[in-house]
Amino acid sequence: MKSDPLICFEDVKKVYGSGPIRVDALANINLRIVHGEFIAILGPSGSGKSTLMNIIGCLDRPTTGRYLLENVDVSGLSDEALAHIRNKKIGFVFQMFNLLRKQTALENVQLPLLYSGVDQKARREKGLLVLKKMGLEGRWNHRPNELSGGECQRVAIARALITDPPILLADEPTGNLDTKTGIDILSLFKTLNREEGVTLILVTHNPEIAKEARRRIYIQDGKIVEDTGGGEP
Amino acid sequence: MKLIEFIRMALASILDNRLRSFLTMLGIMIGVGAVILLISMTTGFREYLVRQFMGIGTNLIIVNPGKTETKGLGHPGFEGVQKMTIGDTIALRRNATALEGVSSITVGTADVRYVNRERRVMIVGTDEVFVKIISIGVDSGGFFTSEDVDASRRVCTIGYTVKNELFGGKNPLGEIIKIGGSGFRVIGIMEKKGTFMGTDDFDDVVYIPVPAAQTLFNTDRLIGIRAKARSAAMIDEAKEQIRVILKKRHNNKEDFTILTQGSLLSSLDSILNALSAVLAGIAAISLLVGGIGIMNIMLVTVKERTREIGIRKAVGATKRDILLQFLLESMILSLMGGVVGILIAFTGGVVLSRFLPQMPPLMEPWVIALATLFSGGVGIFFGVYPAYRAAHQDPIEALRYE
Repeated sequence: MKSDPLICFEDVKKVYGSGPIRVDALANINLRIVHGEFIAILGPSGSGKSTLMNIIGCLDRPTTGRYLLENVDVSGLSDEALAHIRNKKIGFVFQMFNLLRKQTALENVQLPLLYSGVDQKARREKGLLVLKKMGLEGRWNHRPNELSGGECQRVAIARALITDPPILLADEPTGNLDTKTGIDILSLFKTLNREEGVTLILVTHNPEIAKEARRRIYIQDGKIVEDTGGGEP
Repeated sequence: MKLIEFIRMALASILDNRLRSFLTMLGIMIGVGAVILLISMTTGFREYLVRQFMGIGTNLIIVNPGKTETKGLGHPGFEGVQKMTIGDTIALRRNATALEGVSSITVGTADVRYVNRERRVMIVGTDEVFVKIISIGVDSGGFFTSEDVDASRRVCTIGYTVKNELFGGKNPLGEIIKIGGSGFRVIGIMEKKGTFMGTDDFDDVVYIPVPAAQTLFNTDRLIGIRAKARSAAMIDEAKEQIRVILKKRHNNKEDFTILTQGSLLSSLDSILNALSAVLAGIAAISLLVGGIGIMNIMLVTVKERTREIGIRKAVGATKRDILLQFLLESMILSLMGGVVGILIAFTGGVVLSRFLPQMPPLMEPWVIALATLFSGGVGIFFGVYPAYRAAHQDPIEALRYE
């Protein structure tokens, strides 16, 4: 099971528009990611790394090619099915935190469980547990505007982890944080990867952060130009 | 389970924007409130009329000269119509077995004078059967008898108002009053009856024997015949007997109209139904306007919450989840407006019944049920498009939205 790839891209292409305004965001990407990896995806803006991440995160579909997630071809699935996969298999962490402003930390953290149909009591228990793991047990009743940036990002990570997804996708997770807090968040990610075996895919353009990852994938003009440190973790 | 959560979310969102939600609801609120109040007033008015109609007597049949094709209330003209006479009344008394009583009616106005007081009142020429048919009683003295009628005696029974106006505190029994110049002896005073449908004052009347009235007005016509069926079940039979008997007497021409309280009520209902149709039209327009207001605000809400939609989709909300969330929000918004509208109508009804104690607005349960249903329905109908827009947001675009 461990040696089966978690994520497998076979000739994945993503094209936006057509004719003169046609943009090849991704060109023939082949990629294998196994369970437990810690990967940094690097590249300048416009390189296609966001597109890659959106496809990995099942927010988008490849134009051609196949994307196997845990050996299931998800490239042709319906919106409904993709929503369920996002809910169960993928935890998102964003640069802008993307928390619901009017809801408390706990309510934000519980959100994915709401869409998996978990009842309120179980949601609350699980939410408090994950918040505690993030060191936020005393802050569950605070709204995002009452929390620091680092705390917000921890809430976001707690939300990403609440459904115990195999994949954690983070898009510039430290981009909006000061250096020290950024380092804290990064070490939190590393701990999660090491101790919980969560597959961590981190999109960044910061080489300092990318250095922490075991495997680095460089993207330019929609192509993988370098893939270092790969192999079984 | 999810549904309860979505309802909670919708309520939270509505309460987050209290003023905006209130203003959005206002259209539905006013529309529903006004229409329910108007419907309740119509219902109250109908009840009042029914009470009035039924108050005249039971199993009453009204025969008027002239043929009206429909069951209309209007008084027919006399052209080309053979007059109705006391002979018709007698024939009906003799031959119509389904009738308990038949009474002639002729009406006019005349100056009534007692000593130096004068008053122009309605003179009703009728017979002794009248008081058995119409539920009106004699307060003191008596009504004239069949002998009085047959002998065309100049006696009269006066209404309560006439008594007060002409005699004041004095006992009128046995006194002679001048009606159109002729002397009539007062033999009775009618009970106070009040007004009927706000028009004729039943108390401002002098009753005299029908032949005396015909002499007074120099005519041998009746303005109509009032009859009473033996029972409610015999009304139709009675009508048919009247029709056959009178037609035979009127050269086989049906130049008269037979009305019952039932037919009067049904013609009243046809008027009120037309009114209800107009009210339904107003209701539809106000709900349409209110609904458009809701759609407008929901479109703004969806736009404002683009990022929220993106977040929800990223963590696993399906299109259906998002659709349901916004649809519920607009439905609840509209429903709340409807419920507040019902409360406004209720309050308005309570206030109005103080001013109209005779015909208080009557709020029927089906109206409330329908109003609730419709206001919810409007929310759903006008919420579909905004909710559809929300559900079909591209999550990537939505997450990038500032």
